Amino acid sequence: MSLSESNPSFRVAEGLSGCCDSDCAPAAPQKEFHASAPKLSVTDLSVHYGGFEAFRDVNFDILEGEIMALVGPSGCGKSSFLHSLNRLTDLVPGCRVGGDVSFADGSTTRGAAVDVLALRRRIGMVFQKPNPFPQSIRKNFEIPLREHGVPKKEIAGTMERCLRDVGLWDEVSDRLDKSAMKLSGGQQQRLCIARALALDPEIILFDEPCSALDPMASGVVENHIAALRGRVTVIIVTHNLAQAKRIADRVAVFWVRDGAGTIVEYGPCDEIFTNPQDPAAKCYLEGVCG
Amino acid sequence: MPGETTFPKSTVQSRIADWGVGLVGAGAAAVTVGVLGWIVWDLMAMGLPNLSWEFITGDVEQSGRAGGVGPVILSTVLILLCFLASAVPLGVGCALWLSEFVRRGSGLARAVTGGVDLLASVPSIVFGLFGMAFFCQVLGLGFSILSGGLTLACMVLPILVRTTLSAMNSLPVDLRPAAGALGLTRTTTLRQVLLPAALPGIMIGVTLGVGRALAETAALLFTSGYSTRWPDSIDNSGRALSVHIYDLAMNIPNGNANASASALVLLVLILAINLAATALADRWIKFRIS
Repeated sequence: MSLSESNPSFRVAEGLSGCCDSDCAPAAPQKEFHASAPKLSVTDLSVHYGGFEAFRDVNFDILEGEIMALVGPSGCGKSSFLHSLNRLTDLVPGCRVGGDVSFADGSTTRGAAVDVLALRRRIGMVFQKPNPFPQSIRKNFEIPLREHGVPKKEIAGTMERCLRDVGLWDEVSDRLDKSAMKLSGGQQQRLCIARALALDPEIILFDEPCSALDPMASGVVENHIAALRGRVTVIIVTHNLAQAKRIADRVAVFWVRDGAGTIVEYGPCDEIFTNPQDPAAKCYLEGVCG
Repeated sequence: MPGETTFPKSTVQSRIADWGVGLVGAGAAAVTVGVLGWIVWDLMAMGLPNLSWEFITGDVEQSGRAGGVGPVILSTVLILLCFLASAVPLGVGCALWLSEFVRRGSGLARAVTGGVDLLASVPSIVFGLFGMAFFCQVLGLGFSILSGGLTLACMVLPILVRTTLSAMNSLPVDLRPAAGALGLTRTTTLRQVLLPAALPGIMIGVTLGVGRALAETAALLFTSGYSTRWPDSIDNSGRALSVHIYDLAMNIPNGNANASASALVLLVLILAINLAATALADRWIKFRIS
């Protein structure tokens, strides 16, 4: 079944095969996974901070197991959009979220009846700046895992599996009880990814995860994000268009229209980069503006 | 020579001004250290000949002119324990509530911090009178170590609230979203993430508070009383070191030598508590970041 049949909301009705193969960095895993089933449906989503409207009228589906990159200039609502998906916007005083975000299984993420803590277990998040707790590496796993009722005897195994997943196990296995703050920036960010993975989320949101890292560390983190394709649904905000090109299955371009951010175009990665339809998206992706 | 850049040399006046500022700063530092040195020298010259193991452990004799300060030290430590047991939970609790459960800048937060600051500006003798009226008479605790400790707690509360609040406010801003994104409850976030991170700052506040409490005379005169007997319990009246020093210096003829020796004991006690608290906080900080 082609993507346009499974998901009529697609603006560019093309398959995902062959997406920017020639542009992938040599070390980055190839895009062999083809997402088709929707995972999360976003309907008329908008976010206001007091009188300021961060973004409005966002409608699209995120597909199961895909890597979706959100690009666009600063201040067009990408991060606010990400934070509204796992309801971190609830922590911001005066923030109002409109519209709906629902899982494919029919469960909504909006409304007072939703167990927000359980929702955040389903939708994990990794931030721009690595933010391990200023405690031991082990504690960084113990605190969230204990909170979500994982038995004590399973924690060490989960921690090892997730640290191996991000290539950190061999680097830290002899200092699990030392402070996580002693790790380098790139290691800290991989620890944060491992910590998010430990809760077995269905979706992980990445908010510019490489922008605070040096190019080498950034490359390593990027490859580990790319390796999640097919296992976890990934939504990543990035200002690095080359990175979006390398790892994303689909790309959404945010832009400010009438005083608020919105998605002006989205679709398969190669379509968006080679043949953008929206003039603003075209000029942004070609590096002419933004 | 063409192309050669010349920089204007600094003028004689500006060099003299630089030198003058340095000299004034050094002078101010010398006066500060000098005053401390003078106090310590004076105390040592007067008190050291009287200081002995018998003085530290012995009974008070002839209203303090002879004998030692054993019961006074015990009363001081007991007053301090009563103070810590009541002030730390109250002060830290109030600050945590302000920082985590009340919206910053809201009317409620402003009213409570305003009240705390007002409390800080109340003279200690007023706390003494309040303690006598409320703890000794209304609550029926009488002149007792407990009344003294509780009165000190009221007096030092603002220091504890303010220092804990600033410790909480100076935590990295990304810890709270990091905890939120992992689905941690507010209680777990506070207990397992924020409090351990803020602990060194809170300990500095407690140390400052202890120093303030140990130095206090006026608030204890009317509450914990003058008794120089060995206290059996916190119901007993007991004389604090600061009260003992005041009494010897003001009311007892030929009491100055023992007043100086008692002051030396108080100085060493404060120094020991400060060093212990600083060492603990340092060890904690070293574990986290070095």
